[in-house]
Amino acid sequence: MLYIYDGSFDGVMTAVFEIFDFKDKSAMIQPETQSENMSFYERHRVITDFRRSFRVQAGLEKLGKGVPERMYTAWLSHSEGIEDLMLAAIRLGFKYRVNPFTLLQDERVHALDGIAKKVGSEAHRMLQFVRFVKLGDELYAADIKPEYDVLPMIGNHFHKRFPQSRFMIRDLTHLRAIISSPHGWEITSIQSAQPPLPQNGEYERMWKKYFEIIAIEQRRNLKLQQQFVPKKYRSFLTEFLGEDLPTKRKG
Amino acid sequence: MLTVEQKLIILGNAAKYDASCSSSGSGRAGKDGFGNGHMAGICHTWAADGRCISLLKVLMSNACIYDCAYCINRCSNSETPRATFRPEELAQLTAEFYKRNYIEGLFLSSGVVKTPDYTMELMIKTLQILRYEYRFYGYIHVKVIPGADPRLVDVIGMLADRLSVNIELPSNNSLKLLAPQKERAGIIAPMEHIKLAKKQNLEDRKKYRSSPLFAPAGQTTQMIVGATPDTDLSILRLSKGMYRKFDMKRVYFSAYMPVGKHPALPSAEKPTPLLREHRLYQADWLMRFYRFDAEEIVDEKSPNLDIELDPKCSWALRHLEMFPVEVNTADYELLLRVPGVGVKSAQRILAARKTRRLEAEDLRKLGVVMKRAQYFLTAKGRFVGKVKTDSPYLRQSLLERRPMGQLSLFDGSALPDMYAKGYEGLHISDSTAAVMNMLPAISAIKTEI
Repeated sequence: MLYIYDGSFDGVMTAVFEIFDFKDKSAMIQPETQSENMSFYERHRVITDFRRSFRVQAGLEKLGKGVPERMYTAWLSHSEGIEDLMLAAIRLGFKYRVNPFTLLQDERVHALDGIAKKVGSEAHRMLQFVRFVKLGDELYAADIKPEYDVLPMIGNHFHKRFPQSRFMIRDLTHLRAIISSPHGWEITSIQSAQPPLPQNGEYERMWKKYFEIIAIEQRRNLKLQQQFVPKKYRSFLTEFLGEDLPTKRKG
Repeated sequence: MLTVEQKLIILGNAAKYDASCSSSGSGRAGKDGFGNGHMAGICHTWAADGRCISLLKVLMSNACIYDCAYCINRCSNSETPRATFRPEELAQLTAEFYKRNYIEGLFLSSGVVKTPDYTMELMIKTLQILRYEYRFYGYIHVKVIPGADPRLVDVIGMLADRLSVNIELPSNNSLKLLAPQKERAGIIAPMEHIKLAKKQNLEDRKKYRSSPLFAPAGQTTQMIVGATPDTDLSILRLSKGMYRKFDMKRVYFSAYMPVGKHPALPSAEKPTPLLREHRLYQADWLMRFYRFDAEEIVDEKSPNLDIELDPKCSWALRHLEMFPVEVNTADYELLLRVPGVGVKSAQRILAARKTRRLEAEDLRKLGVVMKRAQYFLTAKGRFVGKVKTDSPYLRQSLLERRPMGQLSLFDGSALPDMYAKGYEGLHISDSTAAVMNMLPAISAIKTEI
């Protein structure tokens, strides 16, 4: 049977609950946005139920600390078939009563773990690479262009770090934005045409200067630098703006 | 009068040879201001030399009264422009950078301006403005000035997350030669003091939970490697002692960069290769996370690390009688000794083999680096290596790397004489390739992820 869910994480978790409840051995899960061309499967529409979702997550947490979070991280990739990988891993975890992410020798778990790693590392990169521009007193804004939908994973970090400020982090890939104020934070949708942020203040200039001089010239190693700061992330990084993207040096 | 920007350039330049840039180990937080510690630390960018930038690393002042031969800020160096931040300037700069998410905090060191006490007071003032006026809870690492009044160390420890005192050089003789105004005892005293103050603070906090933390991220130290003839053995012994005696969180090594001429210093044409620094860090890792002892890694017979091979591989080559190891039965300690198996993959092996016995094909998925591990492991009794463990070609096989000769981190000409012998018969491109394969590790170490 094909389980269609509403596209929320609680939706997938509810689907998992029902699959275990029905003892359905040949289940597949898809979000409603993806499921049009699978017409020859018998369909079941899952009604998202927070209590059921919570029970699945509590069960996963018992298998290992942080398992629900890791599932969530992988799920944020929204990649096709991710739900089925999650289901497979959850089944294995409950079967052996172990943290499913330790069963890396299983092809599907390995794939799921790899996706979680990618999303997680991009989320961490956003903690590194968000560059705020000051727009007013305690008012800041930043732009990012991540490959994955990582805003839900970084909002808390910045909200806790700047509890007194009002700020916005715009994800120009997924057209969503974090809006944070002393009262809390949330994610909203944004329009595709957004005005660029001004990057020419005195602190921007000083930061660029500092970035330049802190490198030890005799140990110049642009390749290593690029490993850590891939070019695709540089378009909003203050310290890389205005410089010609370095071409490969020969020798 | 210099502008803040001019001072930043002078004092950032003056601080850049410092190795540490870690921002980990503190969970400081507060709602009435801004900033917090991130336990694992965050790197915010990487400079053109590939080093991570996590903290605003600057000196309070480079108008130093000392004349240490290896230091760019020695008072006899007339080419260096001098500057001193006013505490307000530096506090504001730090806050503004932090609020733009450029940095995790401040790494403040200083040359000795006027007296050690005067210097420390400037630093304390800066931190007081940050902590009390701005209500800044981000990370602060302070380099304590040897010779300053211990009471000033007590004060600054309550404001900073991490303290460090540079041991500077690996031996007392080297210190006498290159930094005649500094004394080993004067460097050790503040380390001892920090250790005791931290201990006292922990006791106090048992009684009064609200008493402020003293340097919650502990203390570290740093030494320059390659400016003097000290061997890797004496360096590793010293760092072992540092970890034991002073509960150091880290001991940093800094490959010597020629910034001055002195009859006792290596000439400018021969900077210490980064690879030696890297090998020392690998050895340091083995001691801290792999339960190796300093004397297992190097000994009196061969007091220097093998520059061609990482210390774990060279250890394994000297102890072939222990290999190959069966992945399905070996205990954790033994797995940790296998080249190519790390702390994480060893733990993964333990978890994974609970559900079923492991095949050779599973190991790669568990994160084992088969390039090295293949020669030292069996899975279900089956040996997977291209070359047997007892083969005379084993060392050669371990040295074979993918050819990647286009970029040279260092080249053969930069090798000091002590290593030149080991390079006979080895192509330069091989050694370069070997370095290339280590690059991620080098920086990973520096960022202490």
